[in-house]
Amino acid sequence: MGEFINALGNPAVPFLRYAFIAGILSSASFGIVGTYITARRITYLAGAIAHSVLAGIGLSLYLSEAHGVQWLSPVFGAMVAAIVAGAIIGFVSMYAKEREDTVIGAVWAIGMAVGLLLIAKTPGYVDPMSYLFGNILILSRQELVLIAVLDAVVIAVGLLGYNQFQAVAFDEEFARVRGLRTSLYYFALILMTALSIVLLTTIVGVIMVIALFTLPAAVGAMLARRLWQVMLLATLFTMLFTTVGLGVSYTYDLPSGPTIIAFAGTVYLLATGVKSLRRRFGA
Amino acid sequence: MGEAVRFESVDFSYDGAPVIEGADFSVADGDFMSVIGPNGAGKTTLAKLLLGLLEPRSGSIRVFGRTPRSARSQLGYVPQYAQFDPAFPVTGMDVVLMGRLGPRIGPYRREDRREARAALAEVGLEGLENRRFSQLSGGQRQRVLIARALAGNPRMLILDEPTANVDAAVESRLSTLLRRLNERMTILLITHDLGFVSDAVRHVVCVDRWVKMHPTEEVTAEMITELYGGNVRMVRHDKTEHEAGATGAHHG
Repeated sequence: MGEFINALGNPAVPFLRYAFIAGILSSASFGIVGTYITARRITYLAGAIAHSVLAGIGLSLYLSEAHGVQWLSPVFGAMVAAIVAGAIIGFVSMYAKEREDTVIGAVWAIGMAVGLLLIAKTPGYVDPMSYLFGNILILSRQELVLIAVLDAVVIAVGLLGYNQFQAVAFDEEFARVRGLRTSLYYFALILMTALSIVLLTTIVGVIMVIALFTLPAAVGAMLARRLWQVMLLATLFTMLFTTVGLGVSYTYDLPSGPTIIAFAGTVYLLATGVKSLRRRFGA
Repeated sequence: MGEAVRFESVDFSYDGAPVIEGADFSVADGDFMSVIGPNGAGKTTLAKLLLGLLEPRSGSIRVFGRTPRSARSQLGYVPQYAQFDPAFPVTGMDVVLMGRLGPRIGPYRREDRREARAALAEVGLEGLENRRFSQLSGGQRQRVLIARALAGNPRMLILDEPTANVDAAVESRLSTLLRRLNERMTILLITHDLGFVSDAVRHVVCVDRWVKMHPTEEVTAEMITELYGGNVRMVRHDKTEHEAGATGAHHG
């Protein structure tokens, strides 16, 4: 671990520092959005958006390599794809409820297919594994700036609308009777989910990013009584998971994404075990 | 006395299947009205039409002389407590404060907290505001939901099946509370439980796709048998006849 801390300060390995900063920055977004979407039980939406993000990554890689569109970074492509996928899923689940699961499955799979095809046709060698499972080497400084901006947007909206988001998640009909435009909050939540996904896809990859919405919020919910307490704990746990995961992956030369998720999963399982033991023995 | 609710030839259907047909009735301001009928008869649909959560296919609905949507802020809605996710991390106070929400974004104000605490006291739950919602008993959860509706200072309270899954003690406590609240607001109570607060109820609306209003004293054992069971072919509600098949499927 000491080696990891030294490396964080080493100007020769900026990527590690970027990944560390990205992990810390995005933890609040993941804590807030993860708490809302697990409370509302719509994490499957996040799964579909996360996977479909590969289409945007593939397109940006293809266009920048094959057609010289240099400004189009993978994170930017991911952001556009996440917003498009979120908008499609949001409209379908609001206006054609009965087809929601079909459309979610389609967005999920088609997004991945398009992304993989575009990556295959990108000149030079691009390893799709980096995008599927995360690779801290592909994070640039400009992308870090974009991440910081998206993060600020998600946190601001998530905290400003706390009472409303909570009420809509708890009892949508009552919220409507109180005059809240519930579809607006639903849509905002999906877009916040989409933007959060973009923050961490580079480090943990499109497949596993969903675990960072659910696991920290699940551990937080075991310890807290109120929604904001769950958010705070989920934020701290996300910070812990990404930082320790990065440190372990650097120290033992392991891929960052699986290391972070494996650590998060271990903590979640331990917490679940302790909770059920305490319940059994009434402590 | 003014009118709290007026339905005029209201029809409603879900995907073409009629749920409410030709509903014509009114509720006087200050009334205590019970909506009865078998499961699946359209009682909850009636409440949702009244709250503006559903739009009628035809006909008109007026609540305090306005459209349901614009009258919403004067309505207190109490849904069935059993429908809530028990794992949702909120305290009783958090839930009651939701009754203070409106279009304004941002944190709750001092006044919101004061009203929420007053509503909790009204339903006899002072001291339990910081208890997690899921740790409250069924009867307490229901009273939290009533307090949430009261926190918005409604002119009318609409309760959906408040006596489902509660024991006799909770029922009698609820009955006392509703009687007291009826002194200052209109109450519309949806129930399949005919005995509940029967002496406080002044009017009864029978729903089984059609809707029919009676003063309480007119409700006879015969009518109830007809509505809920017995030989459905013999049911006659004034001139309205309905098929045995449609009603038979609704017995719960």
